[in-house]
Amino acid sequence: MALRIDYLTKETTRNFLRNPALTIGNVLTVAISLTLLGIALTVFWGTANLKAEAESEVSFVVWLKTEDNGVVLTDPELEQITQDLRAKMEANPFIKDLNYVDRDKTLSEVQRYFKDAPEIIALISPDVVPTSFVVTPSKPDISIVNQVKDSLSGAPGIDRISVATDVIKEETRIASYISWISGGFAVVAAFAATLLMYNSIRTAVFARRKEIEVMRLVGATKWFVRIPFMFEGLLQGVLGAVASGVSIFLVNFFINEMFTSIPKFSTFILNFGQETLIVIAMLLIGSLLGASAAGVAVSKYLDA
Amino acid sequence: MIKVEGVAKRYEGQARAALVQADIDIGKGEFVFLVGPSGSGKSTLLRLLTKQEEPDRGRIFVAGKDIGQMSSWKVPMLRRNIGNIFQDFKLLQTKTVAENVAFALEVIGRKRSVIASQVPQICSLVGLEDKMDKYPDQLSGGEQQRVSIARAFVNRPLIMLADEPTGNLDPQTSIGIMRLLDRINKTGTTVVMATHDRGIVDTMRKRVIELSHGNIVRDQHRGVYE
Repeated sequence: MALRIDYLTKETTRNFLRNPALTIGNVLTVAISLTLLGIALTVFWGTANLKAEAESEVSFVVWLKTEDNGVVLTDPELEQITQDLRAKMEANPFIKDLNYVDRDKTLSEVQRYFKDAPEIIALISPDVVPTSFVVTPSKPDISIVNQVKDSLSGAPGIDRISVATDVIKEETRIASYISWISGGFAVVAAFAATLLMYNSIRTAVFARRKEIEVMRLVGATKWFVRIPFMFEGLLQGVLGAVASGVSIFLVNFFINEMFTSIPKFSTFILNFGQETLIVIAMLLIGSLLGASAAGVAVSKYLDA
Repeated sequence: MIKVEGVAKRYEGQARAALVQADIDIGKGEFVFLVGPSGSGKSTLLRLLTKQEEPDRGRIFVAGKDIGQMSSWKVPMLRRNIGNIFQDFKLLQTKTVAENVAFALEVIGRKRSVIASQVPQICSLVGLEDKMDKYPDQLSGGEQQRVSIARAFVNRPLIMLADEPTGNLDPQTSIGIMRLLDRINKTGTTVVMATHDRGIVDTMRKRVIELSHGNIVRDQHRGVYE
């Protein structure tokens, strides 16, 4: 093939600068396509974060009795019930974590919750404040939660078990939908990016078909003709990807601004490492698409 | 140098064959005119010699090699031994005279030092040593054709194929181009030129092969146009 580096550099630079409008058009096409793809990936990843967060929060509360048949339980009685229940739950393989919430903690939580209604707080006697276990299942799965709940039902000392099953189901269902939609959008955006890049590079190649014909006639090999075009496509892909990277960082900045004040959605915000990974992916995709689209586009004119 | 045996060629979608039956034998260092009306098969024959087209039947030998048996990756090597000149020059408008000529050396991977020494030599040979930095659109038709010849000859090919090289030029300029081709021929390069220019053919009195409707109807040494 005998393609010299100085020839490659000279030809690529010249071709790149020869038709600035077409070059800028190609770079912008790549940038817009990759930005769409990057936003789709950002939403996909952010939603995956939300889903993981929702799943990690799957837990339920086992409330202990404060009285038995109208008689308030004494501290030793309550201590015995608590120990028996702890032992029973620790033996359960489907329970990953147990967190005991004593009267003081419960009371302070109630006081915090009703801090604007001191008259309600005044009505609460510390003796009747229930204690509880916050139980985390081994897997954030509703069926496991129900299984553990059933195994505890009827155990002595348990007043009731509170599980926010419907809320958890709804949260994970919505997160799954958003994941699927943004994932599908990412695939469509990647496909559109490929087509747009191929089309714009094909236009550039078409404008230089005479040059390709001459190259072939003076004895250039197919790869000698192809490589400068591929290099040019790669350069356009990289520049477009850099521009899309800036856009993606900006989009994340606005997402950050929007969601920071909403605790429920704060995990949707990608961290710097995740943003960087998306930008690196855009660079790789941009350069790969640019080079391969140019290679395919130029092949059409290499048969003669 | 060139041997064509029983070659026929019909383009897809065309009712009439471009070449019906062609048998030609051209020796090393010959100068041959291909004459005949438009559509007689002259350009097709030249395109077949550079493997831009494939024959439907028959065999073609260039420098002793059957090019029909040649694998596609060897075609560039074949073309490096054949210089091509066209009626429309086919120069690269974004390159200067020197760059257009250097281009033929760059594609075959010649060293920069070789290119730097050969390009001025060949530009001088075609009389363009003062216009090496000009772009094609700054040159006259005759000068552009000289660039085209310089590009075709810079590799010192065994064969030069010229398809109506004087078709766009005035008679005086055409004479200059023919003198140049004649000089190149005298270096031992085989020249095959398709032309409609009766004056040139009659003046130079070289071998004339006449085609009509895809058939060779005349092959005459020291021939005239008709």
